[in-house]
Amino acid sequence: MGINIVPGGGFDRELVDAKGDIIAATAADTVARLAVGANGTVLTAASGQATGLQWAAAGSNPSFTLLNSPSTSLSGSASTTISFTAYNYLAVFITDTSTVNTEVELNFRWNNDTGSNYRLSNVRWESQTSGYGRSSSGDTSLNIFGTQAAAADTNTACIFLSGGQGSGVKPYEFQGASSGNSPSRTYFGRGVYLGSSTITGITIFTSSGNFDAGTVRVYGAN
Amino acid sequence: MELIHRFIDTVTGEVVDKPYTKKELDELKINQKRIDAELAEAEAKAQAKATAESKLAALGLTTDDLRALGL
Repeated sequence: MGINIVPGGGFDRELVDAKGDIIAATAADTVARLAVGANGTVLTAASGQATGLQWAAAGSNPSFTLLNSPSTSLSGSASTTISFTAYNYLAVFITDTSTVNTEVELNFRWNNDTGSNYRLSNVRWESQTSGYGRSSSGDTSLNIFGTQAAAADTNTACIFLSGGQGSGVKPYEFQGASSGNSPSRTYFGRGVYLGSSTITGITIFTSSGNFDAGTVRVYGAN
Repeated sequence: MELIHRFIDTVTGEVVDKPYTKKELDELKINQKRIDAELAEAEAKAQAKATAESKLAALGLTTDDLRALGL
């Protein structure tokens, strides 16, 4: 495959043969045709190839699967443990939980593990003018504190964890808010679960009374 | 009211409700004490702030005046 430079500085059009073909340098002042790749492939650098390029399969994004279809109702329980097969990535959505009590906390555990394996830092904002942060280490649960100020309030939260299939530490993030109360409350934070087992369950529990409302959806992806 | 711990196995579809164990009830009590302490502390801080703001108002000052003084 030669250099097809034509007088005037352009390339000889006969260098390319098909729709999608591209011209790439194989060395200084030297070019060659690289045939179009298969549908869906992407062009990637490849120093071992003559043109330094090759067509490769496109990377795929993890696809999340709902593990507790269509959802799990928390009503009638103070604590609910949902077990599932292990996934590397987990996304948990807790919607509109409430109890008949006030100042109710939401708490979470992986694998219903009551050991001191939850390290986190979080920030809680109460009203628009005050807020404070809190960090702790070695807690026995992931504690979202003081979220439901009044009995009529509801809490909504989400948690994301990665590394669920591994034996190392597993980072997670969480955020949420309560609705209907005054002052309003929101919270967010990050943490690490220190347990070495793969994650095959999550426990959601209140600090006071049984839930009278609320749903949970757990998604997993690899 | 009896507190329930519900176990749901998404693989087998099994759902089991169990009453709280003594360990779970004990943990609940410990948590409630901590929550009560945090609420009392927050209430005390709010009360102290309100008291300080009334004293400032009696002097014709506001918290903005204190900030202007670098306090």
